[in-house]
Amino acid sequence: MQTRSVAILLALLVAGGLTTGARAAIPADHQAQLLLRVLAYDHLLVERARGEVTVAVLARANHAESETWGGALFAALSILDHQMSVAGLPIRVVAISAPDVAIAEAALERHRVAAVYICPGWSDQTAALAQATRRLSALSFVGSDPKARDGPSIGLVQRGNRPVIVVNLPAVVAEGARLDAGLLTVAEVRR
Amino acid sequence: MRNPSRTRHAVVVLLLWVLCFVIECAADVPPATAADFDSAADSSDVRLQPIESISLESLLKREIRGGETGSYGLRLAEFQAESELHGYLSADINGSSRGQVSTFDLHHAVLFARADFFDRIIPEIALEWEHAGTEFYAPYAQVDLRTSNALILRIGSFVAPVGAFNEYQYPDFLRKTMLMPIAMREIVPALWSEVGVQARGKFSDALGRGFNYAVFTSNGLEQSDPDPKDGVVPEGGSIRDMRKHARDQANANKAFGGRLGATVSRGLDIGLSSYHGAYTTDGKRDLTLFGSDLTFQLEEFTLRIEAAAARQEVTGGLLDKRGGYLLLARRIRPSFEPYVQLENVHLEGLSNPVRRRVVGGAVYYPFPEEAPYAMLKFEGVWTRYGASDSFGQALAQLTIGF
Repeated sequence: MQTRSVAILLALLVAGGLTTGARAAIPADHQAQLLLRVLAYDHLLVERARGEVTVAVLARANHAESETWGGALFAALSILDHQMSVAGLPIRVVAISAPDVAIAEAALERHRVAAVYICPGWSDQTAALAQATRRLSALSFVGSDPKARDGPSIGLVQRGNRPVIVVNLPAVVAEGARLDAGLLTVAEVRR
Repeated sequence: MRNPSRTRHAVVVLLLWVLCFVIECAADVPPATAADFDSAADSSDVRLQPIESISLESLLKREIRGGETGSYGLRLAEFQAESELHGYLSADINGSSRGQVSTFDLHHAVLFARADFFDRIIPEIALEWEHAGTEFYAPYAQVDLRTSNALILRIGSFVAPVGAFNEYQYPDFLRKTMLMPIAMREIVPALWSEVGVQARGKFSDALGRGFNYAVFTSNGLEQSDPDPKDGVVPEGGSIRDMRKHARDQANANKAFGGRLGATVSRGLDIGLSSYHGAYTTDGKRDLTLFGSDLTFQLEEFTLRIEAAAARQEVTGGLLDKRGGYLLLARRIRPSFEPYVQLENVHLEGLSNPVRRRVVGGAVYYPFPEEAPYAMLKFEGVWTRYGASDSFGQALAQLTIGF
C-alpha cells in the first residue's frame, strides 16, 4: 500500500516536472505589473499615449500557446487597468488575435496603442512585426529575451530565480520611446 | 475496528488531491474569450493608483522562494552584489627541534572575501584553517566606512593596529621568514585581532610622504579564568593566550590602542604604537604595550626593526616583557632573496626569561613576474635560552597567495 502511494506521488511529481519544466516564464500577473511599471519610465509616453495609455495584447490566431498566453496576460492587465494609472493617465487594455502582421498592424493602428505585448507564436514574423511597431510608435514587450537588434524593445525574462528586464535600446529608440536612466541601471541593456 | 493502514492511505490520497487542486488553481489560466479579443475594457474609475507607487525593485525581488534553487548567496547574486575571493596556502616541512619531532604541516589555508561598494563601504572577512583544518577561526571580519582618506571607520573584528608585524607582515606570503619573531609572538601576539571600533586615516603629499594613524577601542586582551567560582582570579599569564576575547562577559572594561605612523621619505616608514586595558576578569590588573617600528625598503633591499615592551600588572608589582628583532633582506636576483633576522627578548615570569635567536634563510620566487606571491622558503634557526642552552631547527615552506 505504501509503495503504491509513493509511486503515485512520484508519478505526479514527474508529470508535474514534465508539464511545468518546459519553459520558465514570469507569471502573467507579474509580467503585467512589470510592463506597466516599465512604461512609467518612458519620458515620451504622454506624447505617444494621447490621453490614455492603450496597451495591446497581441496573440497569434489559431496558435494555442499564443492565445493561452494572451488570455492570461489580458486578464492580468484588465485587473490593473481598473486600479492603476501610468504617468497620470488611465490605462486601456485591448486584446488582439491576428493571423498575420498586416491584420495585427491594422488593429494596433485602430486602437492607437502606446505599448504592445507580443505573445509567443510570432517568431517567424519578428522583423515584420518590429517594422509595424516602429511605424506606430508602440513600445513592444515580449516574455523572452529580445536578442535581435531589430526585434522587440523590452523582454521580461525569468533568469534563474529572478525576473529580469532586458532592454533592446536601439529598438526602444526606433519605437519612439525614451527610457529613464533609472530603469537602465536595473535592467540588462543591449546597445 | 479502524484499519490504520487504510486511514493512512486515505490521508495520503486526500493530501495528494489537495496538492493537485492547489497546483491546478495556480496554473489555471483564464481562457481568452471571443469577447476579450479586439475589445476595449472600460476604465471609468477615476480613483486610480499610480503604477509609479510600486517600486521597480520590489517587482524584481521576492522574499519567499519556496521550492527554488540556491540560498542566501544566490540572493546576493540576484542583487548583483559583486565580491572577490582570495586566499593563501602554506605547506611547511618542520625539522625536528627541542620538544618537536619533524612533521609535514599544512600550516595555513586561508580564504579572504571582500567587496567594494563605490569606494565607500568595504566589507572583508578572513576564514583561516590552520594545520589542515584542525584549528579554525576568523582572523577578522570587518566593514570599512570611508568618508575620506583622512577618516575611515572600521567596525567589527579587526587586526589590532599595534606594531608593523601584526597588521602588515603576518601572512606567510607577505613576510620573508617562516617563523614569526618571538617578540611578535609573546609580546604583541600576532595574529592579534580585536572586536570593537577603529578610526584610521592618512595625510600625505604628492610624493606619498605624510602621517597615518589608527586608533581603536575594543574588548581587549583578557586572561581567561578556568574556574570563575573558586575565588582566584588568574593573573600574569601569557599575553598570547589572552587573544580571541570575542565578548566581554566578566567585566565591561574596554581597551584602547593604536599606531601613529609616518612615511618620512620614499621607502622609509616609522611608527609608534601603544595599547592599554585591564586584562584580568575582575578588571583590576592592567596590561600596557608599547611598540616602535622602522621599515626601510629601497629597490631590492629591506631593513625592518621592531621593538615591543609590555608592562603587565600582577599582585605586588609588574612583569616586564620586552624584545625585538632586526631583519635584513636583499633580493639579489628577481627570483632569489636571502635574509637574516636577529632577535632578542626578555620575558619576565618565565623560568628562562632571556631568549636570543638567529634566523637565516632565503626566499625563492619561481615566477617573480607571473606569480609574485608564490614563494619557496628555506630557513635555519638557532635559538639560545639564557647563557648557554641552545638548539637549532631547519624548516621549509611553500606559500602562495591567490
